[in-house]
Amino acid sequence: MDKSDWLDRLELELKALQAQTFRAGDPAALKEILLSLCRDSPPEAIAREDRPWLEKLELDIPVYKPPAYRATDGLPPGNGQWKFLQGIAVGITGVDYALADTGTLVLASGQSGGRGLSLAPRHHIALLPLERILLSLDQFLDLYPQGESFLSQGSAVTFISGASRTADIELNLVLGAHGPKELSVIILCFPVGIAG
Amino acid sequence: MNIRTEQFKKQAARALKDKTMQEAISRASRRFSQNRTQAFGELSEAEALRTRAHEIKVEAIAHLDAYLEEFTASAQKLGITVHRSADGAEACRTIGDLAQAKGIEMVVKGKSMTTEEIDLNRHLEAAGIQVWETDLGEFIIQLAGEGPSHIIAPALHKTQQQVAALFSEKLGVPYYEDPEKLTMVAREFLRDKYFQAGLGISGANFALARTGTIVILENEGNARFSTTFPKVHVAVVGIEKVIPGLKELGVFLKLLARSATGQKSSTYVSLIQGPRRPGELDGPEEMHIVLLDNGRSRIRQDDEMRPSLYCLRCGACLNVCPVYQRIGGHAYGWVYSGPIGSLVTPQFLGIQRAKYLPMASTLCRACAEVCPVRIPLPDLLLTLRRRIVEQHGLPWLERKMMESWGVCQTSPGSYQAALGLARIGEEFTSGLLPAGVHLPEKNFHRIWEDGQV
Repeated sequence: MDKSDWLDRLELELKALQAQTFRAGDPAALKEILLSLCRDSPPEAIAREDRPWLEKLELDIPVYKPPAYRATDGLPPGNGQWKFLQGIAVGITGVDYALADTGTLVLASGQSGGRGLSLAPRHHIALLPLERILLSLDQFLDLYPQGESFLSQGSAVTFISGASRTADIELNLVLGAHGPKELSVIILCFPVGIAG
Repeated sequence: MNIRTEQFKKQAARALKDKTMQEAISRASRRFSQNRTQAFGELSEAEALRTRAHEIKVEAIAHLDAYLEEFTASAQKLGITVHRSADGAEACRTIGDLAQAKGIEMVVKGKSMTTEEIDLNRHLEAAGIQVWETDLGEFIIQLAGEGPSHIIAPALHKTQQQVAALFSEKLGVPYYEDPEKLTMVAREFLRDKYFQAGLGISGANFALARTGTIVILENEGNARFSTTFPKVHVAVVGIEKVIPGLKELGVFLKLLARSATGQKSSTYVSLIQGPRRPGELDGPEEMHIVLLDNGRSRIRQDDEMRPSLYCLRCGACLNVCPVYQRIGGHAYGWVYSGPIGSLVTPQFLGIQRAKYLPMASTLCRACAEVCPVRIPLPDLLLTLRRRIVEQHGLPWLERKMMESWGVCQTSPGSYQAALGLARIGEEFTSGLLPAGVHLPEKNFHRIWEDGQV
């Protein structure tokens, strides 16, 4: 498959996984798409990740920053400080890589600042730089011939293929079992200036 | 869960009369297996991948001690505390002590057959700790007080009406039959628990020796919640889950979800390598891995049975098994069911306690055809049967029948005589045979003599 076909393939696979896809030709188009996707959510219910290239997009969306996480001595019952996440309906994250042939997004916690913003909000909006589309899992794994370089990606590297789902009740497919009910992927077809 | 493998025959007989369960199980397993067939059809070099997966497992289990040592060292470097547990009791004690030392009152759990195997929930609950299963299927059977009836879809045997009644009784919600509504009830109920629990427990599908990474596949996101928000994460990992590294993982990731549900990939594949790091906003402060033996080393030493350890717990063998489809998972009497249950249960619990299980196979080989790591399930079941006969001898009736069969086969005359007797016998016993079962009007010898061949 030609590299130019990878984008089409990715969109096809994502659609099969009930995810929405958009192409943004420039930052203005991106803002427009985001605006329409977030239409029904109040500004305080929208949060984005804090990665450098997202910063440069000047999206005017607050950064996901939970109340100070204290490395407590002993462990008090309850992790109440995380409950604030409950108030966030839309989580906007970057994507490290996408694997076209399975419709998979790869998010590394070390790059994205954590694990939770792609999980807890009802709607996950993923911003994917065009140049980060790979064809397959094998291509991704080939990027890390040495274990160390993979370990440096963070404490959790998560492959996401579609919105959260279950079929545990008589095989009826239900989206949003625990994680996002909706996944929207915006492909950024303009240079976003990823370092490295 | 209570072990009821000794009552297999009674349980199977009862299951055969439970049409609701049978229909639920066979409809679901047929759909899983159709999905698998389609997914494998679209996968290039599927057969070569299965062979490669088998080879990786052969090599990994052959050098298990070295890989476990490497994995332990790699995980420790990531700040993970690694425990080795010889058996389930020790693993439960380790986890229970850890929870109590930290004053943890609530635990959330991702789906894990290994923790079912060691009955971890019961142990923690006995210590006064509240445990919540968070996978929807596991949550349903926890509320119902039942064990899993399928390796990947534990509540497969329940109808939506049964789930509706269960939720309304146990959670005090209105009676909703709609699966979407029921799922949202569970979502709402469990969402708070992730933030209240001090400890999240998961299993692992793979453990990578080179990096110390554990890999968890799931669709719902509950395992991600359980391993992200509680301050302590404990992963219970059977020692046979260790593979060399990322490259090998690639082979299994292509096979596992396709074998289980027919998905190209599970919705979430989490590669977890340690607790939260500086600069990360979430993730547990502490991570522990309990490497569980619980009989696995013994199976490994048993050359004939060693391939039992290659299993990925995908459930594909259940979905194609004519026996499983009719009796469902509970009849097997323990956590593992279907062909793989018939194979591993007698090895984990001892042949004495589960001697009927290896008999619960037609040897049709459908399981071997679909196994993603090419475990020769029917051959291994035959080996177990042979051992059972060696230890216990044949039952009286079977021994007599075999002896008579031997006599009949000694000469054409005795064979013909036996056939004649059988024909007379049929007249008297016709009522005993299932409808439609009878000897042919002419046997082959007669047809041959009559020149009709």
